[in-house]
Amino acid sequence: MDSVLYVLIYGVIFASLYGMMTVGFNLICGLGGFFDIALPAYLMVAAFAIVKLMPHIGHWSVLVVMIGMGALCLVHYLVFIRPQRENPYRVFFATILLALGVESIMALVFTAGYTFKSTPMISSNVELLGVPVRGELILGGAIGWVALFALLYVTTHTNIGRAIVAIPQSARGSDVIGLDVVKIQMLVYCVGGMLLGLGAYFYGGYIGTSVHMWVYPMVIMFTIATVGGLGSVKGMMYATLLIGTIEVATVTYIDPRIRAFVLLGTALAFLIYRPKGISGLRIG
Amino acid sequence: MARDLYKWIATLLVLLLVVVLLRGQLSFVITATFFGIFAMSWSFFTGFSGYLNLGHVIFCGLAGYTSAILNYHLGWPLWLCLVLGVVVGTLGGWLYLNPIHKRITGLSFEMVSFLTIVALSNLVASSIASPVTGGNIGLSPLDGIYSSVGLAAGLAVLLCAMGFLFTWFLRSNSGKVIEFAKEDKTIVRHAGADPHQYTGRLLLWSGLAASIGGVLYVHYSGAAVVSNTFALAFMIRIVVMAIIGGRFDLRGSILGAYLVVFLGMELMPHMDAYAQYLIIYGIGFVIYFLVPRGLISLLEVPWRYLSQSVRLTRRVADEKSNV
Repeated sequence: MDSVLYVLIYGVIFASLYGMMTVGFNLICGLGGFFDIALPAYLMVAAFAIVKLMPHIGHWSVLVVMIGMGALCLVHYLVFIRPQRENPYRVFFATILLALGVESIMALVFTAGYTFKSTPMISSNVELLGVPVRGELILGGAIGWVALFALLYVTTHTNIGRAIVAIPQSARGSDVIGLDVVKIQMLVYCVGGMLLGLGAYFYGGYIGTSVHMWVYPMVIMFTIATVGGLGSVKGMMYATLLIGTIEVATVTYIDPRIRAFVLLGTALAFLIYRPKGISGLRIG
Repeated sequence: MARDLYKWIATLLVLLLVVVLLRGQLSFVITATFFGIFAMSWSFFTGFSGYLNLGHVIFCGLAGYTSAILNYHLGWPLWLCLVLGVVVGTLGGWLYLNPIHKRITGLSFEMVSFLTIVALSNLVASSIASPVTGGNIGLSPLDGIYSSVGLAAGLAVLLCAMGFLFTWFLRSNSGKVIEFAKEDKTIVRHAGADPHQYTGRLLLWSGLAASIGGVLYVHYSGAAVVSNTFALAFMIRIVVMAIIGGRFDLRGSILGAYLVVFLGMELMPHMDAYAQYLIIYGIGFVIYFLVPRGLISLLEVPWRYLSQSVRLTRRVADEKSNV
């Protein structure tokens, strides 16, 4: 019973962390119809930036990195994505090389194989229904869910939010009614980048910051985007809950190193039997 | 076809010349030839089917690990392990990737194939699989295939034989259907053919070549570990080689493999692995955008000029003899 509670509580907490990290990826892929593999690598860059800035400016580093990540993702969009956004294969391949290039640079700057830890905002543990949970994770989980619900509100109650949801459903129709796809993509990259920076603090703080830390979040982002459906915040929120719980259950009952395999299996099952995801659009 | 055969014989002669000239650095020549096999087999499917297969090392890894497991745990003879490794690698990889490329459309195939190697590399190193796969340490020692001029020459022959068979396949009716399907699948469907059936065949042949390369490479390395089988860096290195040389040309991929391996050889004394990766990925990135058909396409202009000059000289000589 205890272990079931543990899986559920940690599942919900990790769901929100993964939601923060994935929301940009999900909306960007939905809007553009391409996969931007550089985003998980930027998560690693953000985590390193926080670790390095923390001794100098304390926890303000999280805010600085969030803003910096918003700017970085915007520049990334303008330089690498916008010129070739009509060709998803080029975007996909260019961003893979970019991600690996970023990994190599980080490995040269910070020693590869070494794991860095940032100072947590809350270092004590809190008991939730008898399960001890790190206070930092509860804070991350709460902020994550607030951010996701805020985004859900924006996408359902504001014009810009409705446009974000509408474009993936009909790019031509969006063009006809005068929606500026480029501006909306820029906005999504910026907001997605900021949330990625926030997610990097909590995720990096929990698993440790290392040059290879971006690979597994890439699996998570793809699985959540597939299961939830691209371009759908609501679908993504359900997907994060499902994936967070499956992941924690796999780590608890089987082996942490098999979790990527389990998540990929889940994504494959959805791609084959329900390509639209829980409540989104068919991808690819 | 005779012309293609001559071209592949000429390629073989060039590769044998490289073996002779670089006898002192045989390990690099052999490694380059192995990567030539991997890059060419990747290009054969990806360059001609229109699908970007980023899970090609599934074939190499399954084949290599099967052979290594049989050799290490059961002590079976090397030749039997090699044969069974190739069979398991080819069929295992094909049975996994073929239905996916049929069922999943668009970029999701690329993403799934790409993430499969991430999942497999984790699985191989997991505690569940480690009694069989050796976990992070891998399986070593294995019955080895040792570095020699004979091995280097044999691999060059194998590479060119594969290249010729691939060319023969592409010139066949199946190859023509694949070419049409790459342009527009609906035309092929309207003609009553299933394009996936043909691209599936392409995948099978590509997987067979990769599996043969995979088993030989594992035994040549003396160990089956993630880094020489399922690693993401291993896959991307193969892709970058094909891009640098020319992913739409079988010889281009071979050229890319040789260039990247020899570039690595030159860079190795001066910098560490990550700096080398950075340079190689950077070159791949630049070539992908500036010369999308790879460096081999740059040779086409002088080659065309040369062949036109030869034809012209021959015509002038014929006219003179007629006069």
